[in-house]
Amino acid sequence: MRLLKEITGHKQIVRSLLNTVLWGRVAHAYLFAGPAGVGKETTALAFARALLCACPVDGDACGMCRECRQVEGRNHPDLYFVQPSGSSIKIDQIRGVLRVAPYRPYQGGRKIFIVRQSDLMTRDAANCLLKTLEEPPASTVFILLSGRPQNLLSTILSRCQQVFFKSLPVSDLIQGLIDWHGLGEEDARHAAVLSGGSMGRALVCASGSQQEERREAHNLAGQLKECGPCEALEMAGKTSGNKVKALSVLDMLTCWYRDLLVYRETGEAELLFNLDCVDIVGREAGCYDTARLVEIIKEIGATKHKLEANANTRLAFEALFLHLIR
Amino acid sequence: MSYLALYREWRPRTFGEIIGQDHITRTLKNAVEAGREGHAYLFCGTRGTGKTTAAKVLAKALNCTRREGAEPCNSCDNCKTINEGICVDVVEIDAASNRGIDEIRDLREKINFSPTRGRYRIYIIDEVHMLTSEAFNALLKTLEEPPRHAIMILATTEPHKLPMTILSRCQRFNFKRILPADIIRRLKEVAGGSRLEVEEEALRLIARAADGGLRDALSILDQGAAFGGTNITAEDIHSILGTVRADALGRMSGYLAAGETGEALRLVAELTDEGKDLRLFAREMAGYLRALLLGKIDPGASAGEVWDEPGRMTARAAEFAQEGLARVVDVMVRTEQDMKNSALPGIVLELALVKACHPVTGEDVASLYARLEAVEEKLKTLTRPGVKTEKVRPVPSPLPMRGGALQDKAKPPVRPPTLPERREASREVAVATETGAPEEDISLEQIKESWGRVLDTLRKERLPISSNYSRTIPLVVKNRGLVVGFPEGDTLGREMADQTENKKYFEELLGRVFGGQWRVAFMFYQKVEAGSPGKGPVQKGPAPEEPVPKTPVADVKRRFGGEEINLDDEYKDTLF
Repeated sequence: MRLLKEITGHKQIVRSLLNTVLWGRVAHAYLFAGPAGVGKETTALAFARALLCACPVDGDACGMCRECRQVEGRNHPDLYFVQPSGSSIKIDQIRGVLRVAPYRPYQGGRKIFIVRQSDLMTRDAANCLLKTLEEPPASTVFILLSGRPQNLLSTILSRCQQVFFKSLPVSDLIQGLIDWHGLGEEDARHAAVLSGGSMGRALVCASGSQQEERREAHNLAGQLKECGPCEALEMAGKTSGNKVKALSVLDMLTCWYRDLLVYRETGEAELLFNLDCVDIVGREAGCYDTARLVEIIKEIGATKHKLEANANTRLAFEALFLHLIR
Repeated sequence: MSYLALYREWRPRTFGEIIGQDHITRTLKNAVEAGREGHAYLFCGTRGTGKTTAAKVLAKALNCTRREGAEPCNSCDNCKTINEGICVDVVEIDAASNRGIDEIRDLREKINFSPTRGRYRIYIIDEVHMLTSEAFNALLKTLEEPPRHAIMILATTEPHKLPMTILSRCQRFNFKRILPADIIRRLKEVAGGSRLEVEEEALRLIARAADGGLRDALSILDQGAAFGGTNITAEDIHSILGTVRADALGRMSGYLAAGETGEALRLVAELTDEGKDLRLFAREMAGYLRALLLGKIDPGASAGEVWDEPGRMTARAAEFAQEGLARVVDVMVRTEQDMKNSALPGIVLELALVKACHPVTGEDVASLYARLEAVEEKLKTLTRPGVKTEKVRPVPSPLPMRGGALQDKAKPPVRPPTLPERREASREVAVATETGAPEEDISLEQIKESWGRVLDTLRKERLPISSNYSRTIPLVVKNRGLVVGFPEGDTLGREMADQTENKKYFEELLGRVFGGQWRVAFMFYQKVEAGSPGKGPVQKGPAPEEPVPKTPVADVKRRFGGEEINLDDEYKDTLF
């Protein structure tokens, strides 16, 4: 388990959390918001450990004491987790929190509630938490985690110190991939650029099969430009076999056409996602005009939307490809 | 004693400290002073505007034993216990977690007891919108005529969820969003009191991000203090909020105004590298552009002052045309929405910026308008050469081959009606009609250029027959008569095209694309052998007049190509 200062990226957030502990300015409610896979929960756990630690060093946990080891084993009696049961966090779960909140902490100086995916609280549950979140009993800290803070009530938001986790910059991702996941420099670089700033996605991108799929998607784009309706339908049939894979193909196609668009507009190779095939991008970018590329990307987005709304994969792909061949 | 967040530590304790709600505090103060307090109040308004605070201050004012005017003293026993939240006479109920009818029944039972120390028993029911409808109804009678010693204060952010019967029994007070200037004033007080040094620019940023909620503002200040210590700079606030400096917004608006897509995309890459949240950037951008728009419409408005210095805002606004600005605001607002639901928000933003820079790629009315203007401009330059050619050329005699081609299909019934019609249509368009020959203005080159468009439309409208036309080319044009060439040997395609219905459709299609009434004839063209491509088809003209082969085998061969194979006698035996 990582210490606060070992978190990949988010230097400013880490600094301010360390200061918080060091200067004793711990607020009673935090909201850690940001896209999936950037390290919200990792940070929340490290922060909780620093708050519970019996002998913190410079605001960070010592990692040795009993409290630290208990947090690491997830069996600290003053660390509570709330997470969706089924598809949402129900009012009864929050009532459970309110029941234990007034008690003194068992052993540490604080009680800490970590609410995972807090945006999934039902409206009733969220309202139920409001008063307690505003003025909780002494030495209680709430840490709400959310990938979609915009779905939270504004009354919840305004009661928390909002900490926005951003997508990780490429350089941090590369460093993290090399240090913590043992990737080579070159692989780490590709994965980091393609991940859109999420460590979770970067790890998926780094796996071998993903590379293969990416190459296939590029070939697909190339062929679609030239072939007729029959071949397009055939390719649609082939691509749409597996829905999960089909969705990732759509993402890759989006990235690909985005690259063409960006290259067309700026002519700069550094801005591309697909850094390993700059020459192909340069060649292909000349074959489309800007309006067409915009249209294509929008079309792909619409198809993805339809698939997420449970459209027939094959039909959706056929419609898309027939659009793309023109 | 553990640390208390700024917004709890600095919760106002008198009416005078409540900021930005003068219309409410004055009324309440007068009511308290005159002893005309009501028995039920409803406080509503957005988050962080002072509802709960006002309720607590009112409770203190009513029960204070050493009141000075209308303000509570905050030093008598009653005030102190209320401040600490342990007063028996002031009951603060969290209606969101105690929302059932049982809790309300409990309340009704206990409300009859007279107060122990003060003059009144005061019930503060917070988040009252969450009560169930049974609970609301159970409350009605008590709310209308409570015991003389009881006062109820309901507080909520969502008054529209309350039944009318509740609303009509309360004195209702609407809390307004707090103005940025007021927020800044209060922040200065708090910062001074907590010994924090805060930059002016940082205060402006906080006021902007708080969006009318003082609690939000104080939360951010709190974070700033945790981040930067006692000295808080604008840069600190930017990194807490993930927002970008005003000059980045200004730069982007400049690029959008000038249509410099490349620069705009480069700026996005720069922001990504700095680890900025692009979604937040889109929202900020929309807000910034909106402020520009407001400034443009009403130069006296103060919308821009939370963003940048007024002079700079005016200069930025001047770079845009008004419709252009409205369109860009529209694009950005929609982008922010779209980015919320996208796994690749960066791409959505980039796409939107490309759209915002090139009006021609959008689909909304404004960009269609821009496109239309461009087309009109082009049309002006197009029509002039057309008129010229007409003057130069004599009225042409019809091409021999066109007559020939028309022979094989109902020539007499088709031609006479088309001529008058054509005249009528073209008279409206141009004076040139008088000469009876407006047809000259379309050259073969123009048709060739637009041929792809013709075929595209065909494919969209008549998919089944479109494949027949896929390899055709326009050969000769004259007097709105067009000869379309089919590749040598594609008899099937040509015959299909020659069918009356299809032919009529095709003529009508040409009319739609190029204007006027068209006649069409079809023939074959040779591929490479014919020396000049222009002449090839003309020489090949008589092809359709070839006598149709007599034998069935020859006919099949003509239609489908191929060669005749003689089967061996031996096979014949084994096969049959």
